[in-house]
Amino acid sequence: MNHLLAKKSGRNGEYVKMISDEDIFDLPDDLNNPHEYDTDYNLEDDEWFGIEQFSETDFCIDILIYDFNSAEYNQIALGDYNRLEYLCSYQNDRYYYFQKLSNSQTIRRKWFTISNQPEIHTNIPIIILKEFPDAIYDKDDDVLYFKKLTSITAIFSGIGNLYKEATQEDTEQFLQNDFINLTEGYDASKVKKANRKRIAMAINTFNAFTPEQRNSIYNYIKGYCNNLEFSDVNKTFNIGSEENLKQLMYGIEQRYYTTPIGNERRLANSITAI
Amino acid sequence: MNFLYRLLLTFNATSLIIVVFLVKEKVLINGIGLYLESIPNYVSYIFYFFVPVVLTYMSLLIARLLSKDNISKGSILSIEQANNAFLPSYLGYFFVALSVPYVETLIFIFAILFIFTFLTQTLYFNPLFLVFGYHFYYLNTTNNVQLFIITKKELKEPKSIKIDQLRRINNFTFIDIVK
Repeated sequence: MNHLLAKKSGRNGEYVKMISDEDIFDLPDDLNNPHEYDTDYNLEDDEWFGIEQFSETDFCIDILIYDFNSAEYNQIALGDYNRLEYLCSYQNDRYYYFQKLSNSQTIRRKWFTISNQPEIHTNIPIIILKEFPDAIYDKDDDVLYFKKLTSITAIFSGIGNLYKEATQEDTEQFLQNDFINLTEGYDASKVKKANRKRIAMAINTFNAFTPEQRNSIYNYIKGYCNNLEFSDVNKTFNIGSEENLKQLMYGIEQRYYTTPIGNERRLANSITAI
Repeated sequence: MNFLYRLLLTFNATSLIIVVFLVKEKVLINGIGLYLESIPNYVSYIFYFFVPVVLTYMSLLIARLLSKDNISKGSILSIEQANNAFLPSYLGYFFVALSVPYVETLIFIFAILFIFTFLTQTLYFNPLFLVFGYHFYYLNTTNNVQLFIITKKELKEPKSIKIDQLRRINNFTFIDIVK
């Protein structure tokens, strides 16, 4: 039997039972061949990220490990609706579907059904179920599937660590490199989350370069990023904004390329080794 | 809906007090109509007894409409039979009914018992369920949660327990509607 539970917010927030014996979510048909999580990779529409042996990771939650028994959970009370964190639908004795809830998903408007005699409903808030859940856990294969990491960080605490973010120290150290010349008062304290992620990735790439490779990378970046000022004398890039830093990071990751036919200059929005 | 149903169950569980009291006071239905005047006393008593029986049967039918649940195989750790657990409290009810002198006292005592039975939640013990072939069990799940189950099945081996059609009376009490 299928059961829809909801998790109440708070540290000791318990699960409450909402609906039983209904198919809440459908199993997507594109779960085969999941992609290992990678910040640099943008999923195609028919792809999912997958974490294998999920139950052995630190961010696995208890409900996925324990035997499932719907009778153990209290029935939801009206007062609980104000503080629901996410929905968890247990289906076919195998799949757990998760949907994160936010206030924006509770609709408190007037509405009517499509029928011959539409009736207006006021003061009956509704919660919309998404077409695709935010995450799916397959108990038999022990795999967690998801599309967007940010939408499941509230469900699986700590899973946000999957993407590495450069610490303040790493960032400072990186910006002190010889080839970077900070301008316009830009410094490590102004580096935002997105660029910290890029730095975390680029540090390793850059450190692996030989001096000759570094020189050719500078030329490569120079060739593609016209907005990025490069001093030929000091061999430094002038970095004065988040945008400058982003272009430099893309350069180090060699995301710029030219199509062989048509010679169009492009930026790879997502990269994966083939 | 659920609240009304719990009221009905509570009434069913406690109403035998009234029956015992009416029998003790020799209140008869003979006075209601002319045709009833010549019938023997025990007809009245049997009639009184059948009121809770019919109500209990109705409550079993209504149970189908309650929120669904199930117990999947392997999720039960241990079983405790609870058929006889209600006997002491039930005998108590009977003695109270037999020793109550006036109708006012009965109403007052019945009201108190009703409220407490209702609030106790786990104690919807109605011996009339036994008449319909139901048994009472405490089941402990592998996650250490205790559930009170009313079912027609004879449960013995925890590992093999699998109940598909449970209905939720309250968060601790469930009834199995399958025969």
